[in-house]
Amino acid sequence: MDSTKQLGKYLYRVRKSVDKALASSTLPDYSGERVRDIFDFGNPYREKFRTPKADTRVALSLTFSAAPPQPALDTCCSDCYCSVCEVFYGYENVDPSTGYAKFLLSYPYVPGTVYIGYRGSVEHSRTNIWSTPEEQAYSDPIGFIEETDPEAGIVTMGYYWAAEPGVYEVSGSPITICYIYKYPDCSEASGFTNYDGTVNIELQRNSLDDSSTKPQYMITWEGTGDSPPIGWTSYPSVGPVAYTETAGPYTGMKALDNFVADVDFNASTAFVGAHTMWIQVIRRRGDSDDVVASWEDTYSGGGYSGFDPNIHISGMQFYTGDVLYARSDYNYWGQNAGNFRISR
Amino acid sequence: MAAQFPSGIKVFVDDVDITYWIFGSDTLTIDDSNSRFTGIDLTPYCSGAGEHRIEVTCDTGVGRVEARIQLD
Repeated sequence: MDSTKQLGKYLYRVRKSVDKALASSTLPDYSGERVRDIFDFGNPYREKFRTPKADTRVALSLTFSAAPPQPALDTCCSDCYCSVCEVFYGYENVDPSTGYAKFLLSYPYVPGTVYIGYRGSVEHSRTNIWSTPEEQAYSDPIGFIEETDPEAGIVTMGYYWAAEPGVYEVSGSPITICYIYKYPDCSEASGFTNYDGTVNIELQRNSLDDSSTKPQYMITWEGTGDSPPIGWTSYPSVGPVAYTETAGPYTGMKALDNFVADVDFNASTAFVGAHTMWIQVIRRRGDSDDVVASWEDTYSGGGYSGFDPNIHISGMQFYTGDVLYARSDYNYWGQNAGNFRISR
Repeated sequence: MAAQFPSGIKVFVDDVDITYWIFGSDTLTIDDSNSRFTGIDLTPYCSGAGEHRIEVTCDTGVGRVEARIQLD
C-alpha cells in the first residue's frame, strides 16, 4: 500500500512537471536538430528560433537524403492501408480550354490524402490536405489538385491563374502524386483504420532496453493528442559520469498505422548541481535505430536547476510497427519527465 | 516510384530568399555527392535580436532533410 501511495505521489509530481513544460510557449533559443521526414513541394522545412542578442552568431547545417522507402504496391500493409508516391511525366488528357488535366493513379485512394508536387511552367501547386491558413500564407497558391473520383483513382489538376495565360504544358516535367490507398482484397483489417484526422497510437514501455537496471514503465494508450506523461529518474552510481548508452531509460511509442504527423517531445528536468544532459528521440524500424532529433544543454551553476526542452519533428512518416522512443542521459543526479504530442 | 532526391531547393530567412548568397546559385540541386552542408553562416541575414523564421523549400522530388540551427 505504501508503495502504491509513493507511486501515486510520483506520478502526480511528474504530471505537474509535464504540464509546466507544455505551458511554456517560449521559442527555443538553444541549438537543436530538426528533421523533416517527408521533404517535397508541399512539405517544406520551417522553423522559428530566437536570437538572444543582436550579434548572436547563427549557423545552419543541412543534410538532404532520398525519401524513406515507400511500401511496395503489391504489399498488403497494416490494416490494408498503404502510402505511396507515383511519378508522372507530363499531363494526361489535358483540356486546352480549361487547362485541367486528369491523372489516373494505380489504386483508388482514401479521400483527403492526396498531395502533389511538380515543376513546370507554373511553379506552384495546391494540396488539399496541407492547405492550412499558415501554409496558404507561405506558398501563395495558384494551382490546386482535386480529388475527382477516389474510387476510380482519378485526380484532376488545374490552375486558378498562370504566369502566362493559357500555358499549361509541362510535358517532361516530373510530377509526384502521393496518396494513401486501401489495398484491394486485403483481409487484415484490425480496427485501426481511422483516417478522418485522428491518429491511433499505442504507447508502451516494453523490452526496448532489456539491459537497463532502471525502472521501466508500461503505458498503453490509444487515442488522439498528447500521450500520458512519462517520467523516469536516474542515479548515476558515482558522482558525475560519462555518457553511456545504457544509463538512459527508454520510452516507447508504437505506430499502429501508416501516417504522417508532427511530433513534439516536451520534457521537463530537475537537477542538483552542474550537469550536462541530452535527450534523443529515436525511431526504431525493424532492427534499425535512427536518431531523428536530439537536444543537449549544460548547466554550470550550483543548487537546483532544470530545463524545459521541446523537441519538434515536422512531417514524420510513420509506418506500422515503427517504434518512437526517447532516451536521455546526464552526468549527475536528476530526474526527467516528458510526453509525446502527435498532431497532423 | 523509386526514391528520389528533392531538387530546386531554396532557403529563406525571414521571408527573404538567400539561396544565391549562400550557395552561389538561384536554386540548389543535390545528389549523393553533394547533400551535406555544415556551418552555413546565417548571421548577416538575421537582423537584430528576437524571433526569426527559416524555411527550406524544393520544387520537385521527394526526400528527407535534417537541419540543425546553431546559436553561439
